[in-house]
Amino acid sequence: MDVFLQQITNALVLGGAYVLVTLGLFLIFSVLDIPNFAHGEMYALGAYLQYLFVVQIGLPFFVALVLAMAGTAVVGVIMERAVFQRLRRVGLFPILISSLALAIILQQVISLIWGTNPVTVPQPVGGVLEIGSIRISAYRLIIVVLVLLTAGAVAWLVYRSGFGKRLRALAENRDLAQLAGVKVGLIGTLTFALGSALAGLAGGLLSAAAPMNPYMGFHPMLVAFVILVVVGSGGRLGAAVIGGFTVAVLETLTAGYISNALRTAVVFAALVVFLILRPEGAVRGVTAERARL
Amino acid sequence: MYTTSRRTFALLSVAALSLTACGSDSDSGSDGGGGSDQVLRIAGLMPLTGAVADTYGASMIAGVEYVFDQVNDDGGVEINGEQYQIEFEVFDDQCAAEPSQAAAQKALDEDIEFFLGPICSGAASAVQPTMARSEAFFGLAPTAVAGPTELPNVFRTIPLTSAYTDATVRWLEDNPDISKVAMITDQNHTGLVGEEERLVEEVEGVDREVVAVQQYQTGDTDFRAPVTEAIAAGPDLYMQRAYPAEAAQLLQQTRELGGEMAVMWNAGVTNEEVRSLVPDEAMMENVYQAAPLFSLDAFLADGSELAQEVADGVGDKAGAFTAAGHDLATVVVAGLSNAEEATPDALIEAMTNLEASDLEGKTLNTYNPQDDGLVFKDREVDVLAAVVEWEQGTGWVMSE
Repeated sequence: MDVFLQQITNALVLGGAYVLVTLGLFLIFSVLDIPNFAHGEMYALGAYLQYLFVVQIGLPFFVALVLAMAGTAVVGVIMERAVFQRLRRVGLFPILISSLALAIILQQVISLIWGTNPVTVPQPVGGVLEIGSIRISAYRLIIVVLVLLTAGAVAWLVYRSGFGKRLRALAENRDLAQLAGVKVGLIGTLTFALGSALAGLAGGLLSAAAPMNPYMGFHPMLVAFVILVVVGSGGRLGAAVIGGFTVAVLETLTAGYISNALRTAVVFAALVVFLILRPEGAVRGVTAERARL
Repeated sequence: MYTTSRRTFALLSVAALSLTACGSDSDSGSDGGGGSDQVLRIAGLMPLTGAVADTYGASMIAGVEYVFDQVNDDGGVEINGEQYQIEFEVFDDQCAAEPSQAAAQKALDEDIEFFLGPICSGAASAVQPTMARSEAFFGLAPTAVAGPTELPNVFRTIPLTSAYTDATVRWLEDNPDISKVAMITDQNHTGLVGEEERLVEEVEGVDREVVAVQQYQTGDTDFRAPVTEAIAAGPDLYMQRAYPAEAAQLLQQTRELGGEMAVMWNAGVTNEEVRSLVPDEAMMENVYQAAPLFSLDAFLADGSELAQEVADGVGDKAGAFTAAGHDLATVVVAGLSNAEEATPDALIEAMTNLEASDLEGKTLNTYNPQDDGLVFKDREVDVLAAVVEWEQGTGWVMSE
C-alpha cells in the first residue's frame, strides 16, 4: 500500500509537468486551430531562458521565471505574426509543416547558443517532505501547487474575463466574432503569446527539476497532444488538467507494476483503444471538428 | 497573386532556414600539410551536432587532435622512411544510425581510407555493413558493442562491455556486504543492453540476489516509478546503467525517494559533469563507476604525468572521452609508424603485429600484452575496466 501511494504521488509530480505543457498548447489549438508542434521547443526555450537569467546572469529564480515567460511570449508573438497568421487561410497542412520547421529551427538555435551539453538550474527550494511513508521533493510539490494555481488563473481568464469572452467567441466562430467587432488578429496574437508564456512557465519551472537539453521538448509535447486528442471536441480547460494527471497515473502505474520500458507504449495503446471506443473524445461537444473552450 | 507569393515566400523561408539550421559543416579536405610532406587523411566519425556532440564528440575530438597535433608538430608520422602530415577531418555522425552511415559513405566517397569511429554503439552497429563493404581501416573507441571487430579491417582500443561486468563482479567480490542488487539499463545503449543477461548471470554467480532488472528509454526524465519499485525491493546496490544526464537524474530521484544504497554507474561521467548535473554533492556519497577509463579524471587523481600533459594541452575541451580519444589516436599512430606503406592493408598488418611494449608510456590506459606479447587479439585489446569511487571534494578516485 505504501508503495502504491508513493507511485500515486510520483504520478502527481509527473502529471504537474504534463499539465503545465498542455495548458498553453490547449489554448493555442482551441482558439486558433494551430497544431503547434513547436510548442515543445517553446517549453525548451523557456527552460534555457531560465538558465540564462539564473545561472548565467545571476537573477533570483522567480524574477527569472517572469522574464522567461516574457521571452517566450515575445518569440510566440513573432512566430504567430510572421508565420501562422499568414498561413491561416492556406490550410492546415502548411501550418503543420511550418510548426515542425519552427520546432527544428528553435532546437538548432538553442543548440547554437547554449550547446548540447545537459545543464541544470539550481532549485530555489531544496529538501524532501515526508508525509508518513510518502516522500516528495519540496520543489516538486511547489510545482504541483503552481500548476493548479496557474490552471485556475487561466480558467478565470478564459471563462470569467472580458478578454476570455472575446477569446471564446473567436474559438467558436472566427468570422462571426469578427462581424461582432472582436479584433480577431489581436486576440489571436495575445492568445499565442499567452500560450507561449505558459510554455515558458513550464520550461522555467521544470528547468530546476531535471537536466535540460535542446531536445527536451519532444516527449512532453507528444503527451500534450495525446491529452488534446483525448479531451477532444467540447473539452474545457479543466478536462485538459484532468487528462494530464490521468496520463501520468497510467504511465506511472505501468512503469511501477508492469514494466518501465512499456510506459509510453501503454499510454499510446490506451489512446488508440480510447479513440476507437470514443472517437469524439472524452467530452461530447457540439462539433467533432475541433476542441472548444 | 500577391498573397500567394507571400505565403509561398514564407513557406520557402521557413524551409530554407530549417535546412540551414539543420546543416552541419565539415571542413573541406585539402592538402594543407606543411612543406613537401605528404598528407595522410584520417576521417573521424564523431558527433558535431546532436544531443551528445558536446558531451562525447568534443571531448573525443580533443583527445585525438591533441595526439595528431603533437605528431604533426614533430614533423609528421614516418611511414617506411617518408614523412606524412596527418589531416584529421571530422564527419558529423550525430552518434545516430542513419547520419553515421551517411557520414561514413561521404568520407569513403572522398577516397578517405582511414577512419576513427564511430564512437557510439548504435552508430557503430549501423556502420558495420559499410565497414564490411569497404577496404578502409576503422579504429573504434569507446564504443564497446560486439560485432564490428569481427571484420578484418576493424580494431578497437578499449575493452568490450564484458569488461564493465568483469570490473563490477571483481568489486562485488571485494564487498561482501552487498547482497542484493537492482539494475536499470538504457534500452538505446546497444552495448549495455547486449551485456545485460551476462551481467545478471555473473552477479548471481557470486551469490548475490538480483532483485530488480529494469529498463528505460534515452531521453526519459522521470524515473520515480522504477526507482520506487527498486527501493521497495531493498537492494544494497542499484546499478544505473545510463548516459550521464540520465544517470545524474536517476541518482537524484533515488536519493529524493529515500534510496540510500550504493549506486554504480557505467557512463564514464566526468568530475565536471557530476558538478554540473548533480545538484548536491552529498548525493554522491556511496556512488561508484565501473567502466574503462575514458576521461582524464581518474588518471589525474592518480597523479599521471601524461594525463596532466594532455589536460594542459586540451584545456577546457577535456571531457568524457578525452582519454579514449588520446589512446585511440596514439595506438593508430604507433601502427602507422610500423606500417610498410600508407595503405589500409599495411596499417591492418601493422596493427595486427603491434607489440604492447611499443605503447609503454605513450597511452593513458595500460595495454596488457596478449599471450604473444601483441596488443590485439582478434582486433580487441586487453585493457581492464576499473571501479572508481566519488570522493567528496576531490572527484573520482580509484576504488580500493
